Amino acid sequence: MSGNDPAQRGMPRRRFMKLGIYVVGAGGIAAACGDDAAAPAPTTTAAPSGTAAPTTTAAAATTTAAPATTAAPTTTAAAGPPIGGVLRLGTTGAGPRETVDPHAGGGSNANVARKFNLHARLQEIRADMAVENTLAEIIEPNADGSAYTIRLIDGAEFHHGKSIEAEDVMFSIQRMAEGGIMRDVLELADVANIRIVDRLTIELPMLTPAFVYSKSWGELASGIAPIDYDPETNPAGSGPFKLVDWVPGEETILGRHENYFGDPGSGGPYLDEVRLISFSDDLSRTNALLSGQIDAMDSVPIGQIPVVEGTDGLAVLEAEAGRVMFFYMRNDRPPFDDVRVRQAIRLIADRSQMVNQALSGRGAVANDLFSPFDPCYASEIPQRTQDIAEARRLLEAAGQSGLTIDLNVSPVIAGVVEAAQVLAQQATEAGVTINVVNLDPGDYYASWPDGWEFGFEFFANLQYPVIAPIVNGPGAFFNMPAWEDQEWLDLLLKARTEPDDEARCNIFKEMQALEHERGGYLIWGRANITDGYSTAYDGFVSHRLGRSFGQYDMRPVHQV
Amino acid sequence: MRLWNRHGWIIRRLGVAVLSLWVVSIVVFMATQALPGDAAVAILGRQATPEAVAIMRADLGLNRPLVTQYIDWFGGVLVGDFGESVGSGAPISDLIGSRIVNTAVLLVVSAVIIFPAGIALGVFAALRRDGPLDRVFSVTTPAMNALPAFVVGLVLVILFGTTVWKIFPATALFPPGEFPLRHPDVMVLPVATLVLSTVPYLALIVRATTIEALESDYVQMARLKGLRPRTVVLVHALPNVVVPILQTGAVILGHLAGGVVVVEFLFRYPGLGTSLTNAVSARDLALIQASTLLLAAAIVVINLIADILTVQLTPRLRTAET
Repeated sequence: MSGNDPAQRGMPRRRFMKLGIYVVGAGGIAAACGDDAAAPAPTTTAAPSGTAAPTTTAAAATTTAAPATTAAPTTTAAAGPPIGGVLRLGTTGAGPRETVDPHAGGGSNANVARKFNLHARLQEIRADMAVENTLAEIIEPNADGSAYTIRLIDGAEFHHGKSIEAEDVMFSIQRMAEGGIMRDVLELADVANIRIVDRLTIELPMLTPAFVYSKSWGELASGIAPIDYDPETNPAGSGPFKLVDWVPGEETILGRHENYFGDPGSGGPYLDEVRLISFSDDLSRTNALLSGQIDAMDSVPIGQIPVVEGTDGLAVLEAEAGRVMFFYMRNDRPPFDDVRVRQAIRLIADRSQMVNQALSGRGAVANDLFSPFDPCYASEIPQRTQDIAEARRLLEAAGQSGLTIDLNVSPVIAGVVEAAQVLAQQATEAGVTINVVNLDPGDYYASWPDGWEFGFEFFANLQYPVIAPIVNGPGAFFNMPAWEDQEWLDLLLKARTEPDDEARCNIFKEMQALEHERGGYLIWGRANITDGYSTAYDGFVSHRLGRSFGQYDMRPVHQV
Repeated sequence: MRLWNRHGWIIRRLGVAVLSLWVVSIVVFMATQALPGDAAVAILGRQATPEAVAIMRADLGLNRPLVTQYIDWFGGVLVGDFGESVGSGAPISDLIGSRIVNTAVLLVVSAVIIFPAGIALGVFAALRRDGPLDRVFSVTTPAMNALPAFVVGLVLVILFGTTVWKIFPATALFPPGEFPLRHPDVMVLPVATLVLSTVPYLALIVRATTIEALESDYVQMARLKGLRPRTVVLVHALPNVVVPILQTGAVILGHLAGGVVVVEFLFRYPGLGTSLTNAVSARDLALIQASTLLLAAAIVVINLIADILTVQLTPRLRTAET
């Protein structure tokens, strides 16, 4: 059995997850387990670059605009971008497994795009990673942390005209807790006993006192749906676009929600229609963009970026280093149960070369740590660089000179196999033989959750308090190296009870120091996410979290 | 009894076809069961918690004996029930109904071009044997024949879809559920790919068999009788190359049914081929089984029809069987 099997661990996974969530706040677990991270399909990331979002708050969104037809003439709002047009967006689909359900897990980028456009959230994670209330006016715990009060803004409407009220939020939260990726997030909440205080206010009781739900409502699977929602018969949402028609795995037609509540942070929506077209491979998606059959595509393959850039009428939107790329080494199995071997492998890596060769330089080196954009990121820890002599010394001390090991990878996303090959080449300098085993994605994940002794993974760029417990917590599902460190866990427990932000940050930095010193990850780089689009459109934004087009935010997008 | 004597071979041939399909069904079923690792884990991927795996295994019926699973599945297939998609829960028949039509349209349109073009080219080259045009033909067709459909498609896309000229759509995007011939522009490059990757082979066979027929005693006799060259070719030579062409045609159609998977994938054509590739990447076993079985069935049926026509068009065989 695997070291990841909860039955083999000191602390059951769910119990630990509960602990982790309790400590750090729930929202990001949804991010970590979201469609983007969970699907074999390429994921995306972003940081502000390329075209800027319209700065206007665009009253157009809440008033009448051009008719929602594909042939609608473009009109212009009083002082904002033109209204109208149809954007055809090519995304990585998942065939018949696609869903419109805002709370279901799994799937693909097409699912992510639908979730963010069909359903608004109580909060939103902005491009700079700040979490702000949107549908919610107030989300706050009471004095003893036994309950949260959530109050909505007044006047927001669902697609079918119903006002967004407390009963809908209660329904949505309870639905989130039934399954999908928000279930773990909501473990500390007593969702069965949500109380409707008034038309716009609910009280969410806690099963145990907690202060962790203040910024948990902006993630992927936390969309607000009406109390009469049904994905088959009444797929009404609250987002900037409504579902007009869809065929899973092929095409989704989204029409502008004329009465969208007009989140002041976004502007829009301006487009009459967004057509999400699902593709199962990068090549045909790229060809469709190049031939003008689609107007935008997520995740342009690295090799095709120069082609897109060099094509008249097309541009790329490159988002800075949001996809964390890493290999993991199983701490509970030889040879990586010896910390010196893990340290040696980390010292063998020439990360600059890996980024340059595997990612064509479109990324940044990483320092065996997650969350570089987090305020609590331990930036004071020196960047680890290649040190073959020290690696040799460590291997010799561990009795592993001339080590031979398989590194299992799969071409799930660009750069993984190439990075493994570069590492294997570098390892020869230290007398280590790394056999790169390139597996079909299905075969690679068939090992899950047992995992490989030496394998790869990637994550969206989540905040440290969110990602730490799920990738390093004992028994956590995504603790791929099966790393168990009591000192680290003690610090995590300490952070849980620390009310002061700065002090908590310092504890997180101590934890990162331990990860850097003896953890099981070789986090070698962070890949840029590059989307392509037609310059007939503008307003695309990028996002640091790790998804294309600013989490597929089509609100600010408009015709030029 | 006379009826049996007359049509017994057809019935036997049908029996062989049914047997072939049954064997194919076993192979398809076993192949999907033999996918590496646990199917439930493969489907769940990174979401494969032990609890989810247990539920998925139960949903898939993987805990039952293999023979029971096969009998259940095959029993459903016999009544047109291919099961449900693991991913969407929708009946397979709903998911692939329109895709069968789309693939059939792609194949038929391609075949309608391939056969006249291949035959005309082959006969033309045979009639000009060893002439300059035949020499060009003899050099280019084997080279074309050696190119995989994927390469041919890529070249066409680059030439006519994306880079050199933007004349035709590079991908077969049209509204789901619509009949593909309502959008002939999106059909051009997929059909051209199938045609260009198939015609050379047919033309080579036609050329060789036509040359053989032209050198036969009966054609020589016809010429000696002073018949016009056109009559010699049309009345005496060509009828004798029909049967070889028919057999080659069956092989080509079988090749098309397989090659269509690649072409559909390349052009994102919404047919059985893309359904199959999507199903494989999603480990949607029921969808893989249905798509593969249907494509295999198409090949079996094509060969059956070719065999029947061959016998009907060959007096010697027809006589021998009666």
